[in-house]
Amino acid sequence: MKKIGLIVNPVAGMGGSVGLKGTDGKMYQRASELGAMPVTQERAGTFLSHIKHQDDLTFLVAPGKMGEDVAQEAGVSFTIISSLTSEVTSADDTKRIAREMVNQDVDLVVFVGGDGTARDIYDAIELKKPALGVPSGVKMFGSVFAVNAMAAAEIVDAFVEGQIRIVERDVLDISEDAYRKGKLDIKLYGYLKVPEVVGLVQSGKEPTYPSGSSEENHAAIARYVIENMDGDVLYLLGAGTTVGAVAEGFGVKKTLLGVDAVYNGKLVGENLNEKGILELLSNYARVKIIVSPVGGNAFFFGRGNQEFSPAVLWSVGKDNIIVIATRDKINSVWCLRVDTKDIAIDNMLKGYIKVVTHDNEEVLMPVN
Amino acid sequence: MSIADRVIELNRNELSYPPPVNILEAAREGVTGAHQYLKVTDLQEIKRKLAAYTRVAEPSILIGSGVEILIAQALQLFSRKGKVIILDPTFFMITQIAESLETRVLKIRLTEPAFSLPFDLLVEEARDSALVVIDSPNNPTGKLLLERRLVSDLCQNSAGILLIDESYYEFCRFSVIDMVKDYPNLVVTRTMSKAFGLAGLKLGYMVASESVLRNFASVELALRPTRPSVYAASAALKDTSYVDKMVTLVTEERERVSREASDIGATVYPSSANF
Repeated sequence: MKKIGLIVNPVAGMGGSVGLKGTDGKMYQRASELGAMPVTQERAGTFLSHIKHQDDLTFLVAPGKMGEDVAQEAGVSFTIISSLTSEVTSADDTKRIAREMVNQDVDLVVFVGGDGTARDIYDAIELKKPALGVPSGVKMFGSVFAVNAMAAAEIVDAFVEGQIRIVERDVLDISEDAYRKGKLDIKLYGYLKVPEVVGLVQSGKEPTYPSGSSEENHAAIARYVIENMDGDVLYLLGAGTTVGAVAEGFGVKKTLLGVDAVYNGKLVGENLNEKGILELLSNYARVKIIVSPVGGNAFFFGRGNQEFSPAVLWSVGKDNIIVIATRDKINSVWCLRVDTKDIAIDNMLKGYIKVVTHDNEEVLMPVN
Repeated sequence: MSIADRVIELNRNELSYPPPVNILEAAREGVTGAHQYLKVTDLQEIKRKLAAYTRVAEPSILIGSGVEILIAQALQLFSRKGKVIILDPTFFMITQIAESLETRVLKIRLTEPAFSLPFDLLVEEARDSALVVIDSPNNPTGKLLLERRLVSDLCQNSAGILLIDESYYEFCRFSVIDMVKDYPNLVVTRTMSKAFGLAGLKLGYMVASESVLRNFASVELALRPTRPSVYAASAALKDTSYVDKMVTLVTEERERVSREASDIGATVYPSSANF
């Protein structure tokens, strides 16, 4: 019988669709004011309900909405560990409970949250016990997360069966303040021991280094995309330097990490959140999205761009999504990934999708 | 011996053993007459032998100075008519040439662990393509990608040429070369650099309908291999029993390395090639 510690960060991921890029510190209050709904409970529920070996596991869960509620709802066998002093949970609660789990000799700590939660777990347990992240934050650029909640369940099943390697993976420190200002400031924060099943644990974000060849590649992609653009179509431009090059190609200065909207060559929306995008969608008959996958982990939806919410993606449709990436980026991954937190939307996007990699050049890529 | 001379370049997928003495002697005989161009009768002779080896008609064979130049020429010629489809990954030279073309290029990603072709999508995309290039077994995955029915479907549904590179045919013995007579848009290329062990002499051949080969008429002379290459290849084709021995040796060694790599925890993908 394996003992699994489960910690849910109830505010993780709330900053995504409202365009706040994260909920570190007190930013979750702002997210709530903007109408963001908690997302981690559903994710944790998906994770628990997909574990096949539930009968071979006993869970040590954090109290209330940090684990107990979802374990109760999923009907798994659990024991509550520690207590909460306030209705509003904090990073200190995560750290304290994770330490307590180590003291109680759990075999694996599963946490539901994002990069910030991963840092709290690392602060508490370092390399003392294996840990696994169920992705439910905003960015999740670190490599300690399963590719989605169902994959996390599969990894736990493999862990129970003993068919698993434990590897050290990166925990990243991403400055949310800098991120909100359109700057990507990523530092290595530490390592967690992660149970690895090939294809089920995501890779970390890899930086895009500007070079002569990448600039030439960006320009070639921009030429091709612009040549094939239609008039009277609203283009929603996602994050990253590759999409930035397309915007630059038709004379628009784009925010580096936000979602901007362009119609007939004019900027009609900047740094949009889900609500702002949905409002635009109701005003324009034809809409296309241009996105680039995150370098290294290959997610083109669900990591750092939750403004493209399931509702937005459903409305726009797969045929109107243009994925672009440099040759180097696409050659460094086997497949693309999506994790929108909505299984129906993920399934709509899965299969194959064409990725523009140069002027007149596309790669038909599998999406998992 | 310098370090560079001692490096074994495994990425070249060469045969690890030199060819038999009679083949080396034939090559030497070719060198002895190096002041002369290759005679047409020598070319006819090797075509006759290749026709017997491949069981196709002689007029369906084009000889080249290595399979690379034949594939490169096909890419240059047929891409003028429209979209080119290649695999990703594929033999790196195919990628390099495709990326330099003026035409639209679609790469089809083969993904681990199965590295399979998304066949229905390929057929769909091939409908308006000028050229589809598939190396099977694929380099570098070693995966045998095709079945005869799939090739039939592709030929019937493709507007353009389907080029199958069978450079590693001898290591898997799966071929569609006999289907060339049924499909005027099917082209098969092979090499004597792998199982025949003649990489340094570079001799490749293309099998296609006469109507397709007419496209190469203007460059046929430029494509021709050298006298020593043709002499050696001709000697090699006289008795191919050494090829069978080499293939057995290589495939047994491949399986041994595969087992031992698996034993130390490495992920080993099954291969139908010599690597």
